[in-house]
Amino acid sequence: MNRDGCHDHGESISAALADNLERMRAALSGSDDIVVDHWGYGPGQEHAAFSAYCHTLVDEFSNHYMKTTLQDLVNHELGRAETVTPEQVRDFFGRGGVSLQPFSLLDKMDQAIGKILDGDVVLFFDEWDHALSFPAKNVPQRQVTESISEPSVQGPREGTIENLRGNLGMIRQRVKSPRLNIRYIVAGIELQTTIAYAYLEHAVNPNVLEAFLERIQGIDRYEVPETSYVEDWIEDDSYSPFPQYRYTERTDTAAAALLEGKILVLVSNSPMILICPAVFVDFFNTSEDYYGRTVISSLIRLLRLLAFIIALTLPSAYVALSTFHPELIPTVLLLAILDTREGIPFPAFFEALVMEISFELLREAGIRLPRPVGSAVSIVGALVIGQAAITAQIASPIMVIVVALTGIASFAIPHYEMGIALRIVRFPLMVAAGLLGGFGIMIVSLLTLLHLTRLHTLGQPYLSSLAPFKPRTMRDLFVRAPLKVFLRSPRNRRLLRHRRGEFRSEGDPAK
Amino acid sequence: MKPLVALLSAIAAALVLSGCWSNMELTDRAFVQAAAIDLSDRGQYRLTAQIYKPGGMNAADAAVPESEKSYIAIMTENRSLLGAIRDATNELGRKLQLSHMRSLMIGEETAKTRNIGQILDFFTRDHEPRGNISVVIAKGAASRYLLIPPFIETTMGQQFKEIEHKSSSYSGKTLEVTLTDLDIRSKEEVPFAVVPYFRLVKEQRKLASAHGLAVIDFAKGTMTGFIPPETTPYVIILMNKFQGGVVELPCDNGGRQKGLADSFEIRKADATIDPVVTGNDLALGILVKLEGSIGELSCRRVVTNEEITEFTTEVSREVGRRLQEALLLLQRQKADVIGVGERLSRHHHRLWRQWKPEWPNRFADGDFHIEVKAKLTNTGIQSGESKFVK
Amino acid sequence: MIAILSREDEDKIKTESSAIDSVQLACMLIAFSTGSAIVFIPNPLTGAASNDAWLSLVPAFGFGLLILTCILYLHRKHAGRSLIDYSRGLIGGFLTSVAAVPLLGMFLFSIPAIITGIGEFFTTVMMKETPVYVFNSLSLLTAALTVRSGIKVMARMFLLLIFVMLFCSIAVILLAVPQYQAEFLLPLLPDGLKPVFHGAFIAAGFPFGEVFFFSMLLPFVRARWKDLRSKMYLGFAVTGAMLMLSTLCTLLTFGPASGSLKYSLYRLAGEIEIAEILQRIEAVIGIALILGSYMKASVFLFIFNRVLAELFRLDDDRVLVYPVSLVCLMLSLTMFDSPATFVEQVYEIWPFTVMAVGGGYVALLAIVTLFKPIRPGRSVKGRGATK
Repeated sequence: MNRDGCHDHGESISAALADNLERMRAALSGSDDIVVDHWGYGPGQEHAAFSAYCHTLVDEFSNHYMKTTLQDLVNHELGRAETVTPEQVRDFFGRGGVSLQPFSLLDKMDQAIGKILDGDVVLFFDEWDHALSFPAKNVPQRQVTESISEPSVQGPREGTIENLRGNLGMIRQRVKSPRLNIRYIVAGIELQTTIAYAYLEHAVNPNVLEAFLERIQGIDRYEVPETSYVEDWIEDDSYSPFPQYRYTERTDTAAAALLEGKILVLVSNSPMILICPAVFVDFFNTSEDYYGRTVISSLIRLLRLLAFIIALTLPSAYVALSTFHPELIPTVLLLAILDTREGIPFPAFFEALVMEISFELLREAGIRLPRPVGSAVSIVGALVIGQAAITAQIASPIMVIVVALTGIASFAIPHYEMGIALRIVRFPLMVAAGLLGGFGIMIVSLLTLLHLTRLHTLGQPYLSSLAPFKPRTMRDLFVRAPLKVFLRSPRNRRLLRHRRGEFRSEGDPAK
Repeated sequence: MKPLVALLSAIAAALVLSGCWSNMELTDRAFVQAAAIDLSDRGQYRLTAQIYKPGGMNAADAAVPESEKSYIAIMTENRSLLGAIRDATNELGRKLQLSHMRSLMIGEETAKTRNIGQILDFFTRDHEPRGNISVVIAKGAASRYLLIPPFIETTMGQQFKEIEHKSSSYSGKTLEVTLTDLDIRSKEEVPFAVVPYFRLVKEQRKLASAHGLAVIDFAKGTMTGFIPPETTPYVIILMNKFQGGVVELPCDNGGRQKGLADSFEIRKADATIDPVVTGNDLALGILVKLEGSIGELSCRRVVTNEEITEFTTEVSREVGRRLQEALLLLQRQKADVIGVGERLSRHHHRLWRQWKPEWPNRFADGDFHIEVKAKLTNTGIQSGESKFVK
Repeated sequence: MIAILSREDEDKIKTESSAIDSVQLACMLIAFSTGSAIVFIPNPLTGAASNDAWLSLVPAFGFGLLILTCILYLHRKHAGRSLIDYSRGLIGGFLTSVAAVPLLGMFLFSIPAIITGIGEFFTTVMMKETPVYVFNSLSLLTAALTVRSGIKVMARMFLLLIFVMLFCSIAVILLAVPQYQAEFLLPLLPDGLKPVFHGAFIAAGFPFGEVFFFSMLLPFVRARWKDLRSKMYLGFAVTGAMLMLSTLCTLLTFGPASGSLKYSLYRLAGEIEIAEILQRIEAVIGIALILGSYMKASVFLFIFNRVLAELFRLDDDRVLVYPVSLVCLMLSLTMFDSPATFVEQVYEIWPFTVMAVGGGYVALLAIVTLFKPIRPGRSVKGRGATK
């Protein structure tokens, strides 16, 4: 535990009980929820001790640590603890005696205060310059449920909770390898969040790991309430609309990511797991793709690609075609559109913009509304507004369809962060379409492509597998080859090579 | 700082480069479905444009008595076609958009007296019209055709195109000729082309009906000949563009079979024309292979092999006779629309160089020999004997 | 190649090698040569050789192949140094500077010509009312930004864009099959071989002969010699095939009318009509044209930049990109007064320039290399084909 710049509690615990009491009171004077219990033990109960804890963190009905501590020292019923002496206490606990309850031995005041604030019960004894602290934390926790944002039809539904230890435990349970390294960093003075990062030693790309470690330097000085702060800290380009890391709340996704050689970052009190690095194509794959069969998974992946294209270009294509290039619309469709556009007061571009913004508003409002009201309002809102807009001749039916299709398509992208990116990029495209038609769309698309090609995440090109084109990876990109293929030659070549090297050294016939 | 600069420059670029030049709402454009060109009294072009009228909430058009009119027609006059099109905006308030035009009608008078090259040039040079606009020559004033209500399609433009398209496949009495076709034909060695000819007929209502082909000589740029509808299918066979049609074989036994006929549906017709040059003379060897089925039977029997052979021989004879008539007609009009000259230019180029100047006459004087082979593929779902006519 | 990338890029990419592989280079060659030619080239060729236009491509391709062989030979012999570099070693600094003057002039012609092509296409065909400077400036801006990102980024991007471009073109060519009439190709050689060679002269200038500019890009490749050589020839062959296809299909569809069509592949796409829905897909060719011209302009701009950087021995060559682009923009708006000037300069004068300056220069260097022992000259930034 490292804390720097922390005033004058760096000193040791004093042997004088009164001193300790006073110092502790001084440090924690602002809080009313710190409880101090005074005890007396020994012959005539003349020796004093006190236990300090934060009653909002500690279960009141948990074990009475003072009693069990003293019980360790006598082999009969404790009773009034008249036979216990401070020397016994010092000897036994100071030299690692096997106590009933697991404890930590503390010798610094700030350690003790930190432990109290972390939910331990700390016992101070007179004439001893050490203190004992017993973990006793019991705060309300969320149950392990299915992740709300990543539901699945097939496959595990284990979602992470707000407890770092629990989350790491769930991950360790899936990846039992001794090469799963988990490291802690404690960040911030006030929050003292524990940031944990995990990676599989022979699977991770050493360059990526090096870049990651270099980036994460220095974060321990700042307050890090959530995983997203870590994301922003280590990000390559904070202004790019495209996310460079992935989030998940599912432990199976996290385990799969580890196998791929990615680094996981978890933060205490947050269920969000950050997967670094994430390249563009990762946002179109989900772990569920691997739980279904080849044909359906491949078709669904292609559908996602279609959804991506629609979500990005449909509104701009409509604007460009209807204002600049009506000659490119097939006649049948054109006549239908003409009928509906007659009498609409707004130009197509403006109409598209208004409809898109209304849709975005609806979406945002839908998130904020409480659950029972939320879904009803979004559906009703969308229908009613769409219909009312058509009747009032503010928007044409075609526009409503375009906007609706775009919205639905953007929901088909499995990862929320990429959906947001699309929403952002769609607007410049629409503006470009409104200003310069097809040419405008081309220019903005080229500029976006340029941006994507330049973007790197932890040293990896963002368009990996596409931009440095690797034909081998095509089997898992827009289609999904049968799992047999993956089992025999896993994506992560490093792991495979390492494993081969291992086996070979054990004398196994070469694989 | 950098992103801010980028953003500001993007906004600046957007404001400065905003393409409000080419930007036009759909409702500011008038989509022309068909155009008709005549000559006015002063010798200028009279353009009649049929425009699709969107079924909006607009007040009913003044010139339109009928209930669900989905088109309006506008007429302008000018020496040039571009001028005529731009002048239309004076009355319409919208820019004419030619990109969805289906057909172009040229009045017969115009086609006969004025070089249609100017018209064709305009429509191929402008980027809006498509290459697959059907070109049609109309009897009388072309503008009338756009003022009658379409029979079944939404607009007359669509109506003409569909007539050409379907009729060429089923009755064989017209051909689908597009702007691109004319573009190519006009630049060929023998610049002759055929264009469908339409006329107005009055049955329960006024209809435009395909009625033969007009022959255009691009050397002069005018309509120089006409092929009547009865001969049209056979000219089309000779052009090797035949897609389907009917041959009628009248019953020649009197009595109960008087006035009856059998029909043979031609599904496929392949014609090969072999020009044979001997010295200074041209002889054409024409071989036509037909394939088809029985349409209706009134007098003949086609059950046995011999009967089938007899039937097909009769068909061949009839077709051969009609082909001969067709070719004689073409020769009389000195119109080599069947591509003989082209063939010569491709295979006997040096000879062609010599013959080219006098080609129309040489074509007219050439001998020919026609051979037709007909094949019967099936007799329909009844057997090859009519049980109705005894 | 570190100087090509910005300092930020350096940090990001220090985990990668800053060179491109042979497949990427071959794609850049395709982008460079096919680029805009696929839509523009059939017109002048059919104008010169009518229905033998497709034959003219063969000798032109041969010429290009010769030049390609020369520069590959030079690349190998000089262990991957760039053109200016080994030119200095072979004929001395002064002569190189003298020879570089027409070379620089060529750049100042070709880049504006490409940009003008894009602008002219749009103002003729799609958006007549928009002033041409809009198209020119935006295209050049995008090209400049691309060039500033460095060759690795360019190579990666262009691989994807080439796919799109080739796919669009091939799709159009295949969909138009019902329109083809083989008889249009006859008669063969009606006027003898002279028109064919006229067409070959045009095509040798644009685009086949321009491959000699590629000698500036070869140093960036890290690949085995055999691999590099085969990929380059393959790429060039793809270019030849695509252009041949484009010209052939134009002839097959339009026959004698081909000579008067300015953008033949575009018109070809317009002819396609399959079921009421699949019609007027010429937008697809418009896309292919923009992509192709943009890629070509970017590569040209990059090479121009490299030549300037090496001639004037600059360390950081990104500084020149924007000023050079601005100059090219201004030129593109003022250089061509009328369509006739454009035709004359691009299809009559340019081929001559390419053959004389480009071909001559490369041939001279090759001959000198053949006879002179290699003097280890200054290797500026060299990393070439390993054996």
